[in-house]
Amino acid sequence: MIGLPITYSTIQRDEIFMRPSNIHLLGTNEAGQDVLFLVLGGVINSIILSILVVLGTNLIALILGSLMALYGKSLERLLLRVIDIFIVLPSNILIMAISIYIKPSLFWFSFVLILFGWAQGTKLIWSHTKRIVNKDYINAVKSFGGSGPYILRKHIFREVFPLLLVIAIQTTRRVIFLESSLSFLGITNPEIISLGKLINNSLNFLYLEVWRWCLLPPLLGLVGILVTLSSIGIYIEGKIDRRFNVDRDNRA
Amino acid sequence: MIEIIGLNVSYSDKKVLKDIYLSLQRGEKLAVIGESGAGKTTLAFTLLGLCRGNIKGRIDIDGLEITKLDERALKELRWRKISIAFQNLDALNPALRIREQLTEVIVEKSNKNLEEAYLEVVNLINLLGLNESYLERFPSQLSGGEKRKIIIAMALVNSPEIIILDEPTSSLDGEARDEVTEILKDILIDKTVIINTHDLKLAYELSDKVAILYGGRIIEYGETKMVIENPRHPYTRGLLRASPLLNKGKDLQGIPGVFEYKEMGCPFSNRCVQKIDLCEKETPKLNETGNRKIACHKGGIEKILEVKSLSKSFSDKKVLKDITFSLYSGESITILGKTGSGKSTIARCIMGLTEPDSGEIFLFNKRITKRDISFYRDIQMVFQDPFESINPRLNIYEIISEPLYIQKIRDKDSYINLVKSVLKQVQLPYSEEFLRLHPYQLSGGELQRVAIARAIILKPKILIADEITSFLDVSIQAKIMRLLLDIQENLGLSIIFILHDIALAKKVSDRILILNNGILEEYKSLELGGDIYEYERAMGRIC
Repeated sequence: MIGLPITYSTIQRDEIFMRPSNIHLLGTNEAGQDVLFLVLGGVINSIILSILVVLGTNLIALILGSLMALYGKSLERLLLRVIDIFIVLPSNILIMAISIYIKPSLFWFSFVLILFGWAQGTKLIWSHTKRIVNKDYINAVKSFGGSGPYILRKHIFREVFPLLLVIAIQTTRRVIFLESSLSFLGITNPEIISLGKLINNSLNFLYLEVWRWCLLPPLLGLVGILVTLSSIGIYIEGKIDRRFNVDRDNRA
Repeated sequence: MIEIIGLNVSYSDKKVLKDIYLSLQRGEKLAVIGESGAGKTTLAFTLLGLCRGNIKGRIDIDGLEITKLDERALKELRWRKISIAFQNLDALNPALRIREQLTEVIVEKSNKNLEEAYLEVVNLINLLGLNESYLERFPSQLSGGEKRKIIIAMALVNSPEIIILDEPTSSLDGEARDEVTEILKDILIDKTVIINTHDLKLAYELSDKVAILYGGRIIEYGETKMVIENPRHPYTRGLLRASPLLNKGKDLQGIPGVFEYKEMGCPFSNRCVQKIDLCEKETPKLNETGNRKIACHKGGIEKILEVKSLSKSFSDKKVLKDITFSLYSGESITILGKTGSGKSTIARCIMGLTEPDSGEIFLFNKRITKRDISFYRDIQMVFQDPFESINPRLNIYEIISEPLYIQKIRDKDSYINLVKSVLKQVQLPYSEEFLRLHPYQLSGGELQRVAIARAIILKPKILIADEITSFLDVSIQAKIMRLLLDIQENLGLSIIFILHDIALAKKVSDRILILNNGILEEYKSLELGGDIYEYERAMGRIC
């Protein structure tokens, strides 16, 4: 039974630099570990981290953004200033600095990413909700006696959900890219398998032919994830745009 | 002169007149108004001693208790003291010339000879606008208007002190009606007159006092001008709305339902828009209320919404300045003003969507301090743009049933039936397929009907319609407005229309309030068919 996140110590060792075969489909690395397992482990760890960060940032964005827009007033103004401060912070540098200092576990690393990643999404949700709450159908719901929580649950969450999906994909892309970059630079916890770390290790053996099965799979895996997420994001954004266009056409 | 005390008349077991108390001084003119079958003719016949029903109570004419007189004494009284102009034009004998029929009454009831009687008849018919040649005609040779004049002449021939006119203008065209009315005004000047009519304009022109009769009971009584200009009983208002002669502005509306004979409770309760449980159990007494008498457990048409000194500013601009107005049960009023004058702000302040700077709002005489969920059961709003006021993500069923979910109406199984019933009311399809459609699949007119259906599903008492037809073309606009008036009639809704179109406002409103520079001015009721150009002048000032 392999625990999460997947660490190097959980993968069995064989002979080093074995060629791809029926036993090791992508061969083994310099430590005799199966490259396919390592790549899959790296992808799973990236996805776990992304899920944690997306859950955290989206939850904050949804609750804080919509509440600010719905209830407004002085709290809204105050939080908007805080959001602006977080947006202008050099977040990547700060994340690096913190990671070097505390060498965080996957959980704490996700916490650091949430801390520096909630503001952008919250502002987007706030502005979108602000547009919705001024619509007459929200006034109509209020005029049936609909409470704030009801309006959030039945109308605003439904309306901002596609936007949350876009924010989630963008966040995932950013998290995977950032995590791979930091692990490539050796800043993250060395025990946890990461695609960035696999790429970095493989670069030491470029002079041997092993780079073909040690470097290419993690590299292609990383590129594959980022390209796939980008494509999904573009598709969903297009869908939302089309939906808004349909609404506008009908209005006209 | 005439004193009617506790008069009850019944035929077999059916009571036709119940607890009638009336008093008429010499020279006074009383109009008894009511629909057919209300008991007007029975009252007239009872006064003449011609009623064949079972009579209880007392009628005194100059101190003489006529309910106790025998037939001979009554005959002496009829045509000399009290006479009647019958409603039925066939009351004239078709086999006798007019001369014979008129002189016969004089000769029989006075000491005059035939020659004196003839001269008197000639004078009388001249007064009625007919010449001597008519006297030689048979009834079949006369027009309806001429027959009516002869019947009136017959009631006048012996100069009785009391004259009962039973529907004196029925079956006459407009011109003949006006002519007869003018003649009656002159010749009845010193007579005591009881006019049985359902013609409110005639009552308005001829009578000093009016008694509104419904189901054999008097439900409103007072000075004619006061009662007709400001009716306080829902039935009286219904009659006014249904009167084409008085109601020149608003589209005619009937009274919902039909008359049902009942022994117990208010006779009007099955058609009343402000009915309470008590109305079914106890018959309301004719009580003095202010300047008139009303038989209503609620003291007449109740004030359901009152806005007092409402003010609102946006930035430095004062949009509403001390706005004060009231809305009565079952009434439709229009707040009229040019675009951007603040009309919608009034509506939004009432609904709690905009916070006013100052002012008070009373609902059912209770000051609204906070708007809880029950507030919105009584008052609903339909917004200007249906595409904006309906969530495009929901289907028709979800849209219309949403107020039921919010109000936590129990028995969710009945939601579908309620939704279908309101769709029927707004004349939309109510198939399962239609319920699954989304707003973008409907036209603007259909979607506005959906918005109306959603607003009436909670059966509110008040509906605010904020420029609901401004996005629709003229034919759809007319249909939607007609629909709202029908719904008002059936559900007894009170409606506040917010409009900028004066022509439309006149069609749909009992009263028009014009908002100009933040000040709300109220104009004379349109029900009286008053000077409708007054509104145009007022609008002309501001537009």
